[in-house]
Amino acid sequence: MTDDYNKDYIDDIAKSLGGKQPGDMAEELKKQLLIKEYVDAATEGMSGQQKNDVARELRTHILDSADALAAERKVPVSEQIVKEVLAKMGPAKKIAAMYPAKKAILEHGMGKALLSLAGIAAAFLAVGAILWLVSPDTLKMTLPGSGSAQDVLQIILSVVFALAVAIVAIAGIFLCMYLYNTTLKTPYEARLKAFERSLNDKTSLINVTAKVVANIIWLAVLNIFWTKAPFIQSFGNNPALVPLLSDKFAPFVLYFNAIAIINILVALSYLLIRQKWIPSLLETIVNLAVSLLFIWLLIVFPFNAALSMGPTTLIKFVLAVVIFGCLISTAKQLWDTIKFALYGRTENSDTV
Amino acid sequence: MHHTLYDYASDTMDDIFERFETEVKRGVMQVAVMCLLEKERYGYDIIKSLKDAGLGVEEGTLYPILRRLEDESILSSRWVTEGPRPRKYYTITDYGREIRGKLLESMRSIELAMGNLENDMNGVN
Repeated sequence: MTDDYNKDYIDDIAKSLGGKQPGDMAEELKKQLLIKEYVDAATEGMSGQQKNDVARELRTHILDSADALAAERKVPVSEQIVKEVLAKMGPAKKIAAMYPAKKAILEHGMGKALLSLAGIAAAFLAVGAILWLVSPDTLKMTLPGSGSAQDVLQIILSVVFALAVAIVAIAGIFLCMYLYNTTLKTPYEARLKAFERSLNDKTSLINVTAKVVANIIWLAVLNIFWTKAPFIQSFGNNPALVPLLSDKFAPFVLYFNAIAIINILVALSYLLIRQKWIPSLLETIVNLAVSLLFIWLLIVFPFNAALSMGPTTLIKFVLAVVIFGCLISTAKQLWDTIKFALYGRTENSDTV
Repeated sequence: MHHTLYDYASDTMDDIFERFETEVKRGVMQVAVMCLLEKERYGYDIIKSLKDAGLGVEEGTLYPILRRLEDESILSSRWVTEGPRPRKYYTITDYGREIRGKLLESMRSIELAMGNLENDMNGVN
């Protein structure tokens, strides 16, 4: 069916050229070329079945209109008539821009989140596979002082397993919400749009729930794993794994815990407080506090003296990027707060 | 050719009017299409009927609207390839009828509200 449009086009040319004089043939080709150029411009950016359907439909309309106009004037369909019909259709680019972009579920925000998680899992597996091929010994290295014989391979596999569990859990939650929405008798696209809008709307129950769950997971991961997080001691020929953090990091754990708990309370306050600029302002302050905390981390890093210059520099660079991201997020949050204060809503929120 | 300030203001006013009119028409056209499609029709036929009803539009803009309404399950369609040209026929779905009812109701209340506002405005003047 994809080539139906081209077949119609060729059939029409063949039919209309049958038994014609060279001059008429040139006129006919010019008309067909005009129509083809217009239809191609109107379907630019489309692909597959959609392009074929739209092209056939527009072409039929142009030919119907041209026939009607020619019959009205009692003349044969000419290049001039086709031009008039195309002018009545409006600019092809404008028509192309008006067509809805058909998004697959994986192109929506939630799909992208799942794809990102799957991508991270694949990256870990790829690293494991490369190490297995290039330096199998590295996979057998154990973490000194961890008290267990956990080697790099086990760490990679546990991370991949954890990510797989997260993907299944998130996909399950999304599926439940999607199925719930199907009971509302709304169509597929509208359901996805409404769901995505809720995810981006800070005042929605879905957004608040997602934030609360994310912060609880962060609290669990931080408190369980911070003492066990390994890192390569140096980038030399004989790398060894050492603990990334030491007891000196313990006060930071307290601050991060406090911030996560405040984050949960602030997220919940979006549901409880009518003036949304108040939780938004609190969120701005929390973001700023996180930025300052990371700056402090950057200043006092490293926590384990065994880490050499290379890994330390790499981590400091990552911390600097995180600080930059936090500051941008703080500025954006401040802007949202101003919009909440002035208009009672942001673009994404339904609050009026 | 000299353009006076009046010409410039008049062009701008025409542009603004055209933009407003296009926005309003596009919204109205969707409801009008839903009304027309109680009976199965194809694009060219729909445009003719819209024109007859006094809703002349840029013809090409109808097709993206039909597509959008179809994506939203408000319309359903089928290709008919018998005959001189392939034609895509559209008809309204039950879900579309439900939405059309609500939209017509909403349009009636908007019309009423605008009428009241216009009366107030004329009363003030």
